[in-house]
Amino acid sequence: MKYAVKHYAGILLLTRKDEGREISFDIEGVLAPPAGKSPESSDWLSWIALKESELKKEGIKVLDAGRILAMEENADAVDLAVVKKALEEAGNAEHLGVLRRINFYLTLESMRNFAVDDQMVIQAVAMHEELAKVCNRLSSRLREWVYWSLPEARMVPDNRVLSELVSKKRPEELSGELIGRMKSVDVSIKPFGARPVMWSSIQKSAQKILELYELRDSIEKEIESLMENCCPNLKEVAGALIGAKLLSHAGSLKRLCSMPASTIQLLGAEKALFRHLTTGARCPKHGLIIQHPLIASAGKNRGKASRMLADKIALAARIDYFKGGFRGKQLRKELEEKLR
Amino acid sequence: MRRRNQRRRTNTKLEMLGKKFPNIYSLAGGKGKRLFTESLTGKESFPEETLIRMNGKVFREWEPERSKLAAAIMKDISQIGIREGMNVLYLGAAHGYTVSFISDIIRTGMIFAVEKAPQVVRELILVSAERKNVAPVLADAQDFEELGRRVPLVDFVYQDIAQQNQTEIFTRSCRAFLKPGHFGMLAVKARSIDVSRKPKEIFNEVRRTLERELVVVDYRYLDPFEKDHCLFVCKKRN
Repeated sequence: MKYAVKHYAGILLLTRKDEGREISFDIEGVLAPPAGKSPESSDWLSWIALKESELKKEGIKVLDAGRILAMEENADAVDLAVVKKALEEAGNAEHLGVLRRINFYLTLESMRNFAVDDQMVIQAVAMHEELAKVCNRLSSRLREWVYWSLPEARMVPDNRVLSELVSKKRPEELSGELIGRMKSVDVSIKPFGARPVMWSSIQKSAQKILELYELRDSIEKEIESLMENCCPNLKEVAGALIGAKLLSHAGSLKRLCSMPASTIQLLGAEKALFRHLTTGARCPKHGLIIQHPLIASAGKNRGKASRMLADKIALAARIDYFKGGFRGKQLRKELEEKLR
Repeated sequence: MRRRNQRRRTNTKLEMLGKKFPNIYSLAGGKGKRLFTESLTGKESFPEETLIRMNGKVFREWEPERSKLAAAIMKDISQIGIREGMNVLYLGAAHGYTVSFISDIIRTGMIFAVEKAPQVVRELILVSAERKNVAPVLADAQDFEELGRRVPLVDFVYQDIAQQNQTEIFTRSCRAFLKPGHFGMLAVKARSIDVSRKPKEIFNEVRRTLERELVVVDYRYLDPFEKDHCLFVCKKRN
């Protein structure tokens, strides 16, 4: 990031170029609220408006508190390092205050740039994982509850289908339907006479659980479109969800792309890796990428396959970080041919 | 749950900890030592802090479980070298917990709190916004070019970062930013240097490395507050 300190209309400003325009911060606190006024008070807002109109006359536009868009072209620029040195030599507390404000605004400014796509993917993945856990726990609880009224529910192995059925149907018809699915049942005995207990609560819970499943799906779709945006190559090679999990494990796309393939191969297998390092147990072959279909289908060659996949993922992540166009299809084809 | 929730006492007595620990107070009587500093803002800085009001002043409790510096004081470190009016460089500021207490101690000085993870800088900025002596610096502690532009010469360097080359970073930053004859403090996490070796071995090695350039005045293992951590107090040679 390039920044400098400039004098505009008698105000000392910290400036930096941002997409063609120049954004500056008022480092002497000209725009700070006057003593005794809090930044939230309406007095302060009207005060800022007053200052704004004063500055406008000088050719300076206030963006929001402390941020300024400087219009004047030929202001005298000074390098930040020079300013810092001058402040240091002056050495009194007031100048340190200026240095503090410089740092404050620079930090605020780079914070704005951090809420980017890969961070959003990471947040979404965390939510997705948590939802998956919650869904599983809640639906096994539901299953346990339903069994008391409707033991036939065992015929439905899938949690999601079960909560769908329970939320939509009356217990009697559900019972009939499920018994119909069983082979060779002696219907005349009717072994499972359904006596629904608290069915309305069960039904409500099932509905909520179903909603959670739907929420998880919609987040998954969102992750896919986000991944398509920010790392298309990674998405093609690793798959949207695995790619996103790798991202969240690494912390950011930048960190993922600076990792060697061997690290990527073992992301998510840290426990096994450290066990290997400390006790000399066997070394893990794969971490998160085990969920990838190519590795699942590799059979005995899983170690080899995961190494190759990690290679290609590392390449893809680097292409994505340095915005190198779309090469994912080719990478994936190479991988599939090797593993055939 | 934190242990002591916002319990406000009126008739308790705080005592200065000693000449070597200016602006740090301990609670007289009762079981065990508890540390306090006088709040610069007149209120708490983090949720669920224990506050004590005395003579119109507000004191915040400094929990050794959350701050390595407090843990070292609890373990009777001989001195910390931070005084009122000093300028401090703090590498690895995280949420700003320890930073807020150093800010209480130095009062008129200035802390440059360096942290590279934007997720925690969100909170550090809030700490800095209400304390006029904290300057947040979102930068990598290893990026000396950037730090050199943003941080002045200081009277005290505190470093708490979990990096493999943390010792090297510390000696380099003392070389670059610390005035001669002044103190620096390094919190070493043995697990981030090498998980497979014994912590004591690592601490000895760190000590040898430090002594090549600095004088190691004192050190403390931080058990039971932090596992496998050690805090070194160093002095830069004149």
